[in-house]
Amino acid sequence: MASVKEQILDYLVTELNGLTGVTVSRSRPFAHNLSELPAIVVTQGSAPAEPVYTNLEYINWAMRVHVLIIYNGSTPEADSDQIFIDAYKAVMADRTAGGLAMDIYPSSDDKTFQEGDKITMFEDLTFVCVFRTKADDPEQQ
Amino acid sequence: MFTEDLDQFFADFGVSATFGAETGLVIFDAPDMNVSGFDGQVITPEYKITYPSIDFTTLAHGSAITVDGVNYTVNNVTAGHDGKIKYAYLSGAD
Repeated sequence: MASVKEQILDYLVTELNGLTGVTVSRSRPFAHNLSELPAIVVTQGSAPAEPVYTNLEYINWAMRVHVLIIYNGSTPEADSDQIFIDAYKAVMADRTAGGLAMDIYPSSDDKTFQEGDKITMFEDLTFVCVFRTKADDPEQQ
Repeated sequence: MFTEDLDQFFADFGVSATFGAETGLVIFDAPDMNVSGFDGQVITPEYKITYPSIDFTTLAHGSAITVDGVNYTVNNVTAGHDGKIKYAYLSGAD
């Protein structure tokens, strides 16, 4: 079995894979070619944790998940908006991530742009996934 | 005093470019470049022409230019070296 955090990340990638015409991958350090765009890269961010003091058997986690939307075009902000909407809805459709999380909610949305032939836009849509594991086993809820 | 003849520079490697009613020789480059943001990276071409500053003097962001028979839009223009040549960075058609 995988850790609960890994199960949540896999769940989100599966949900995002339902988007039509978008290349979805996990934590990809290799550059995309233009033919692969638009693309979404799902990566884990910081995951602060703390004990549940009313029940020391458990740890509460608040894992940041970065849903990075990559789009290339002359007017990427307007043209990629539907991908943002679809990705947001895919993640938020089940705020328990199939029963793995206590809640998922958006925490920030940032964009940066790079000039090349066209404009490449990188949009970092960040969610927080709140979940609980056994204190002695990250695979167990 | 030595007088530069930029025509020699563009004669061997230049290709024809047309901006409005004006035609001249430019050197065209299209290397791939890697752009990145947050944890993502993309390989994209960077289209650039090098040309004498005395040509295409009103070329600017948004100008339409044809280089070697292909249409482009100008992203920006910068001066190079002693200012006698300029570089224009281009976008291809959508």
